[in-house]
Amino acid sequence: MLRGFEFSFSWLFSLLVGALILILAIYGVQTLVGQERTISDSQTAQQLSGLLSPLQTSVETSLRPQPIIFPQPTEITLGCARGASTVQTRALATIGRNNAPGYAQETSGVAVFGNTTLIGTKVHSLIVPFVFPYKISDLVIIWTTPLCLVQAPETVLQTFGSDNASVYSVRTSVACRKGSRVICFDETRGCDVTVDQYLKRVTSEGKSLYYEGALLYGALVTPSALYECQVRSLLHRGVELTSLYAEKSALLSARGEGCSTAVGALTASYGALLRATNSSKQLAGLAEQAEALADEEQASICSLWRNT
Amino acid sequence: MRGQLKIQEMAFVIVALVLLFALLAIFFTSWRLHSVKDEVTALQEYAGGQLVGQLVNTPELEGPCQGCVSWDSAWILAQRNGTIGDRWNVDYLAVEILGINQTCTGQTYPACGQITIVPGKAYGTAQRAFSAVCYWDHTIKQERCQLGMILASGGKA
Repeated sequence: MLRGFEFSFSWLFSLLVGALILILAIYGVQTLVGQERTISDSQTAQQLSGLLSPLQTSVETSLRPQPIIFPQPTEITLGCARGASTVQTRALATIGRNNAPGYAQETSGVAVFGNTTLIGTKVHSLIVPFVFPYKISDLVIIWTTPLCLVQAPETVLQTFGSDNASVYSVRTSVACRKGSRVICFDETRGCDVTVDQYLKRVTSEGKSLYYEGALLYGALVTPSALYECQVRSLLHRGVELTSLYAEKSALLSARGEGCSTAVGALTASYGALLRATNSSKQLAGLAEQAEALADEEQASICSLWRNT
Repeated sequence: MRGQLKIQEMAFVIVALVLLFALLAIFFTSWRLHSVKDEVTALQEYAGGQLVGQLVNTPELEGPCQGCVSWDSAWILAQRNGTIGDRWNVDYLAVEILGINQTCTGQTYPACGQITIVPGKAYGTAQRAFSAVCYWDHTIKQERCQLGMILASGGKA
């Protein structure tokens, strides 16, 4: 004899309420975990932006800090907004889907160059000052993929400091290890990036990036859009600095003898040129003016900025 | 009658459960907010501490030698009503020459002892770093450097 199961009201009620409570609890926990991940990723980005600008370099030196190691694979997204570099991080999940990246953190006073998205546990960095003709900013170059430098000049090798793991030098591109970013200085076959030192041009992914001074190191690892944005940010800061130096020149000239007013005038005209520049292609046109300004400033008895 | 009582019992249990969860959520939220506030303060102090060391060598403030601050640049930046603060995310920034207790004005500059570049109204503990502070002295026709310090408080961590 089959006896029907009595599904009383109390049972139905308990099941419904129990299910509701469980659903709410799961939803709550998921939201909470997501928020905690966002907080953690934002904190990591804040710490990373702090680590990327440890001690600013002096005018003539570069720094090659120890690699930054993350406890788990992390995605770093570089950005450029409102004249500042931004860093976003996201710890990649080992189970389940990835969370949205944490909040973007601005790096104060430095321009960060690198691939737009970097993934890994070990981030290598190089900090070089950008002097044009005064120090405009420190450039922080970061990368995760090993860099294979083919026939690189001695100055580049010295700045990168070949450690055989993150950067190494070879004579031909065929000698580069698999998975490396191949950067060629006097060769074009089998290269990811080629450098024309005479035209001061770096070609990567079919696009040409122009450089002056330490911008070369940024151009080697940065995609075109981010590079051009960083160059514009640097030039914008250069304009602010020229205005500061022009005022300083006027202040010093007014206070006493010996300080040339010519430097102030030249600085102001250089500032106007910088303001009119909005792409790396125009940098070459500025180099001559920058050199003339540097000569004039060095001839003056009182210095406006620190020279090498 | 018995069924109604059961329903009432259930309703009471549900209300009690909801209240319990609500109380737990309130306690958790208040604890979490408190810890987030502590973390933000710690990050601000960390950022401020790092920043003050960097500011000495930043092009806007860098003097004629490595690690020294230009008194003239600080004075010019101070005339810009704190707008430079946004560049470094600071809500307070000042440069001082030790031993001179006189705030700089148009009349007293450069023979004064304190220039406030970013006048913060409500800032936490200002981080400080000692540094040489230099300015062009036309009487001796060279840079005059004195011991001073740079003070900064990180605003937006």
